[in-house]
Amino acid sequence: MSPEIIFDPYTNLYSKATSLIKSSEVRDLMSVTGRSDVISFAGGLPFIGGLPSEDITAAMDTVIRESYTDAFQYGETEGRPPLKEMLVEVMAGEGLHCEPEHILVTTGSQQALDLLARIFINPGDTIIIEGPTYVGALAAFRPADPSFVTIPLDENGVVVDRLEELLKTSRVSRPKFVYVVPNFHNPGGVTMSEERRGRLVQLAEEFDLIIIEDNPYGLLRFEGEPLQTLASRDRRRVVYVGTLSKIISPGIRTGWALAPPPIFERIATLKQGADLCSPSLSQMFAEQYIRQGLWKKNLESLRPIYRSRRDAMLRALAEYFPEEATWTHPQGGLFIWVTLPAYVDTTKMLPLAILQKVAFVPGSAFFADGTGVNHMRLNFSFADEGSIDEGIKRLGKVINKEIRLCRALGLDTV
Amino acid sequence: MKPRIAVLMGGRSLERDVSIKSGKRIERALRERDYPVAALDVDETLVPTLYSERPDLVYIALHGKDGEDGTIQELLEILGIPYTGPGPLPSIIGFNKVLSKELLVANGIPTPAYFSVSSSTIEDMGAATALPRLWEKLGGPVVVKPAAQGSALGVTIVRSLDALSAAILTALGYDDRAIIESFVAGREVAVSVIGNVGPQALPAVEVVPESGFYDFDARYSPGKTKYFVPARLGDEVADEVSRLALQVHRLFRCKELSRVDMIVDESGTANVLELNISPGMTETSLLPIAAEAAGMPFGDLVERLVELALA
Repeated sequence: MSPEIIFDPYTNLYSKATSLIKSSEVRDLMSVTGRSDVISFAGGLPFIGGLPSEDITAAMDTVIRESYTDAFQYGETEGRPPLKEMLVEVMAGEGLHCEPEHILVTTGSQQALDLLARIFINPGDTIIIEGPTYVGALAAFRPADPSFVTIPLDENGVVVDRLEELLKTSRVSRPKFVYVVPNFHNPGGVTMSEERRGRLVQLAEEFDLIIIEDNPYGLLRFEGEPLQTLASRDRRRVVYVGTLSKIISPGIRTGWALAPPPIFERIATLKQGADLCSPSLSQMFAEQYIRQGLWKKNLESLRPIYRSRRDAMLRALAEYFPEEATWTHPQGGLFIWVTLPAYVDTTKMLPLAILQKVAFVPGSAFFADGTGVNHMRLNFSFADEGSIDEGIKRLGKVINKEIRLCRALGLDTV
Repeated sequence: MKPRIAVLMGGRSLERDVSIKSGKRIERALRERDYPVAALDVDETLVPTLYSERPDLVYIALHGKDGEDGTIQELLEILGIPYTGPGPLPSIIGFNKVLSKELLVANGIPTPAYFSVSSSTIEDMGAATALPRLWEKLGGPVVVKPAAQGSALGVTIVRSLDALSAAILTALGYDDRAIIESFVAGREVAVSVIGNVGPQALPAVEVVPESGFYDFDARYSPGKTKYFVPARLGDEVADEVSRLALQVHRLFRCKELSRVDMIVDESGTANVLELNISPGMTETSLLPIAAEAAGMPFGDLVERLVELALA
């Protein structure tokens, strides 16, 4: 037996929703990835070292000096209007034009997902998600006990054909919403093509669906042309979720939902019960940072760094990974998604990798039903180019060993 | 003036987090009793730090590789600093399931039948072809575990032959060697033993996982496991379980402390599964729970172990 056992004297008191919260099998292993001797491709952490400290200090300074009382007082539940004006500007940078009164500031976009889950999902309701999808979305949606319908991704994003087929043959009861991450998908790396964006919006119209468009990475593009958001094509049925985590800082916990008015009202009311308002200090800092144009400067300096790291990883993958492996080629964002032969289980392989001092996130974490075991998510934003090369080299060896073991055990048929 | 104690916690094993929880709790208990305490993590500065701190005792709150497998114990022998828990030999043997089981078998101590297999026999000698024979001999179901003890991860219960290969693959993710052991149905009990010259067995703690198997999910999902202390055993069986734990403690030459994990089958026979020389000391660990049941609150337990280590 291991030394750690969790005994819980309160079992009979918990809500039903609590039992739906899964403890992750890889949680223990993941905590090891923070060790300094492990080259970790497991995080989703932005490169905070790229944030210039003088700018941060100046912005914070302005906030404290000019608006001390506001910064430390309760604010409006919907968020501070000056910040919302700035968020209008940020979204305009992606061709999405809107009004500040339709923006609800949230404590990270994670909160927006949590609120949306709670206003839409009754136990057993169908919701449509991508496979793979953002693990934080699964964590937000699960407690509401939905029935997940998963549509696969390919190099052009979610396979809209499949969705159409499902909807047309009425094989799913009316879904409450479709949740997509169209740009530089986490974990997939892929971007939804122009054609599919148009078709998805049409399908939503035809079948009267809500789309939740989650776009944390849209501004982290390092090649190719930006594609118009879903929300800009249909403001009535798309709830757009945004965040400053990757473009300013995750620590300020500042995100938002841009929602059609009736939906806006409901999530605002629910948010009031959740945390009254998002931190005023964070919002004011964010507002300053954006107002002073520092966020653009920041992005401009981040993009080449991420691009270079992505390139280093792609090069290393081509050199060290077995020929059976394939991977996505993201045009932006933070992640590359690797596909190994179907018989490889990356969850089983993870401890072996950690023993070799390299870490990644096993693919099954990103599927609602725990499938996808032959994939891995690799983050390229965190380590530098030298570590990326070394890490991928180690990982290549681990994969080769795992493939050999699978063959020797006769497990290489699926 | 109370002895100066350095509590080692954290380290680099997969059980780092648990170790830190154990370590912090121990540190607090010692400070409350006015022991001068230094909390140390284990990294490349450990030896220089021990030289400069000059503790009278090292309290080992490490779990898993390097902490429970004799590594840190060997180092402290070189440095000549007294430490809690068993020495290098019982640690090395206790951490390795194959060595432990062989020692038990050689001394007639009941333990489930087993085989071990290493990745090289599989990769280089075609051992996979022998698995049906192994299954036949053990007469399934079986439990597959990594040979290097230290985690509930990598452990799978296998009820049919066609699931055996996958379970071995899982175990080999943690160690180069796996053991395949007969599954014994029964009550899982853990008996902690404290003491050197006259070791005493604490009340047995019975662990009852909801799913019937004490796997990772049962371990880490709150409420999925119930416990009973003292274990629900008849008097005769309870005595036998204590006796067995003491026998194992002595056999392995455990200094001061050990925890012996067993299954008591339907006929009341206790089968020893394994020995732990660095049992957890968190709020939800078995040793402190057993000590509490014996009228020894956590602070007393820690102090007792300190006294034993310095004796």
